[in-house]
Amino acid sequence: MKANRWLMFTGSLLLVGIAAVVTTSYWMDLFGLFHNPAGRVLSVNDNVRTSKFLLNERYVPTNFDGVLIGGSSTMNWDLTKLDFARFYNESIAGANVLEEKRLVDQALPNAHFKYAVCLISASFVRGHVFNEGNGKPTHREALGSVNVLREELASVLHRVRHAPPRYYPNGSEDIVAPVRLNLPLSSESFSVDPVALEAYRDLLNELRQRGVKIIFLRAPYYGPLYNRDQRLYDSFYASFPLRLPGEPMVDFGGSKYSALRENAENWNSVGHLSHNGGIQAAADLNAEIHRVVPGLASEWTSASLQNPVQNENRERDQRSAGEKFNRRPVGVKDASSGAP
Amino acid sequence: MLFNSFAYILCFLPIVVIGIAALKTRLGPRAAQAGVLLASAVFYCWFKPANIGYLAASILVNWWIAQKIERAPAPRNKRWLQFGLVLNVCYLSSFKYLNFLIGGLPFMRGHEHLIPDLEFPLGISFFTLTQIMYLVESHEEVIKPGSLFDHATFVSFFPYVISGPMARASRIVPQFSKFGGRSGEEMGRVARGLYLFSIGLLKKAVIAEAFSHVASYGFDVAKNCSTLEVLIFGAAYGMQIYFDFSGYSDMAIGSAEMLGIEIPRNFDAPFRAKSVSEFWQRWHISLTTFITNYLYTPILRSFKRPTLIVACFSAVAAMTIAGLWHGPAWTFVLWGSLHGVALAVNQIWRKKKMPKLPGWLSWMITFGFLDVAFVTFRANSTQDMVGLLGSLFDLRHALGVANLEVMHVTVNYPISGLPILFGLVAAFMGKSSEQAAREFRPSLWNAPVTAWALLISFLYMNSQVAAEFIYFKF
Repeated sequence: MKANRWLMFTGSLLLVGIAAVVTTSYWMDLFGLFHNPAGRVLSVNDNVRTSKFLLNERYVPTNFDGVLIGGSSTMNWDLTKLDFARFYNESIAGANVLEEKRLVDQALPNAHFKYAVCLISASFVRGHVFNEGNGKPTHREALGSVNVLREELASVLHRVRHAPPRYYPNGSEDIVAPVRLNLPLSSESFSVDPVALEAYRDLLNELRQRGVKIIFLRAPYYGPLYNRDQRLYDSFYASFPLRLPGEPMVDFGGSKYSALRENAENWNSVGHLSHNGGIQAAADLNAEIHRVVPGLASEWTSASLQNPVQNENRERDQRSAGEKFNRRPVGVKDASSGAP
Repeated sequence: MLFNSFAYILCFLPIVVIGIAALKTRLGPRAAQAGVLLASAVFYCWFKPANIGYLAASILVNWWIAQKIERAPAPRNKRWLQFGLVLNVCYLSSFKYLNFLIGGLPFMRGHEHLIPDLEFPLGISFFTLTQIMYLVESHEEVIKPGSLFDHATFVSFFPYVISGPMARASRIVPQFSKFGGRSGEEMGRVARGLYLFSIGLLKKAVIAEAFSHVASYGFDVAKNCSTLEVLIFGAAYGMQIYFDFSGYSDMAIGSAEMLGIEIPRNFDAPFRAKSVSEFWQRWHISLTTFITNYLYTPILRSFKRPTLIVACFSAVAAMTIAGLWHGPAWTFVLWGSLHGVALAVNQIWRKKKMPKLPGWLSWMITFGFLDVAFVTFRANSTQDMVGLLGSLFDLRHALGVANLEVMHVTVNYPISGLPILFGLVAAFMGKSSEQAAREFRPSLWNAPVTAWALLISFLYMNSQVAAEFIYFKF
């Protein structure tokens, strides 16, 4: 083969390959970047970090009123139980606050969030190293990259197999790891990384400046571990410096939730709730938020009444999409109806 | 501009290759050479425009000294050479070692602010060594110092100015008339260059990046590693640096090949070596050549009788200096010294005619040693290095895997797993890229391979911010 022809042939093959990748990514538009995301039902398929970053650009701000900012301990909470707003779960396994801030920062310019439930946890502010896949993907990346190919493949496989997805359109995900409650209970490290703390302060200030109501969350821990180290936990939460006076906190460390903590059925591992535990905790969270934020429902209703345009938009959105976000995939039982 | 950036691959390189060919056709070879010089200046300025002054000063002064060496009579020209060598070493040291040497003096404690903190010009370690080779070649009359135009083109040639491979003027300058040829043979060179470039890009953008995640996890995140874990993380770093630097070298050689210039090879499947001396004949070959010719041999010759002990001492001294060349840190010094000792042991083993080990055992011992040496090279600080070496020899937790079990949080297995597997097979069993390029003939099967390598690399490059090459910092 002559070199000229070889070069032409190689170049043509490369161009065809690039065109195929770009066209597929644009057509599938898994992150709601290229077509109008209002009312679409998009969920992570495989790579949580990159997907959530890209979903936060248009999909999350267009379709949700609130966010849960957390780590692995809240990633499987069933946020459809929160009845006063449509919440997106930003939680990611192993995430620290810097990773979460990057997600929320991506959404904020286009968002109209009313509520943010913010986790207070030692592991959340212990470090500031970004985990793999949580870079700053761009539109260009969404047109063709390894992460996107992986997502596309996972999406196709889900459809072909009709398998219940592990990830939900509201950002929550099921933990698929086997139950491991018999591990030795090692005490958690309560050291706080100043960089992480500063990032958390910045994030909270950004939310406050935009009028987002912040509700702090002290997540539950598996009873035997928690009971042993309760004093350490209590002193960590008592000394947590970022909460302003008047900002409510839902405290799953109190005696009121000891049944949730003690019941092994609710736990996947010592810091992670099981599927049923996630549903139970979210329902409790909803009730507790209603208790600690008085007039929550009326606040929302009155705001809607005062703003007919917003109200109309909301109704239209709810008609077209709202129910979809609250739909559990086929094959996943709702524990609130079937749990013992 | 990085070789593994879209700006370089899709804009700079095609424009330069086509532009130089057009210049040669219309205006002749000198115009093509001027085009290459201009392209090299643009390439170098892309990173830090202010640094061009350091490169220009080095080119001007060394060219002037070479002229003096050529014109001065026999005893005096050696003094000019010595002056040139001292000047180059001081030039490099002032940027690289001033803080390390003066800052370490006891009476400077607390007065570090008095030491000027000079910005490290990109590629200074490489182009300074190139200048040293040029002066020695001028003195030995291997080459006749040419015009400033030729010298500037030679030193600043963009494929190797920043990280090598280090080239001799006697090999490069005579090729300048070939810049941008358009004959059938030259198109064949463009095809071979693209083939080699695609291999290099795949190595860097896909395989080295995959290993880097494991190495970064091991050296930056993992705590209380076991012996097994230290060895795995050390090997991961060894693979990372190999695919990173050999990928860079392949891209450099491929880029030069597309312009019609052949530059020296730098790697030849080093992890298949069965002794440390064989490793150095396969790893960073241009540096090995420099160390042998300009460090080891002069040290050896400075003794009256070159005995085995003297040869061993020379090996340790030369490799320690080579370690220090990588940067002002004790970790690099120890890495160089370890290699020097290993080379000395290798020499003794051969000269004393010790029993020959089976091939597989020699390979295992060699790779084990390289692995431990990579741990010292990669350690973030002297303190970390001591800790890691302590873990390595603490056999109470020899087979612990606690860190490996949670590595999935940091390392994305679906993305990094396949490249790691592919990399291991390529490193231990595959052909070297140089061999693959030598055997290259344009055919129907290697066109899809090249297109595939480029496409996969583009997908990986588009998945994260392009990472710098490891050797940029040395």
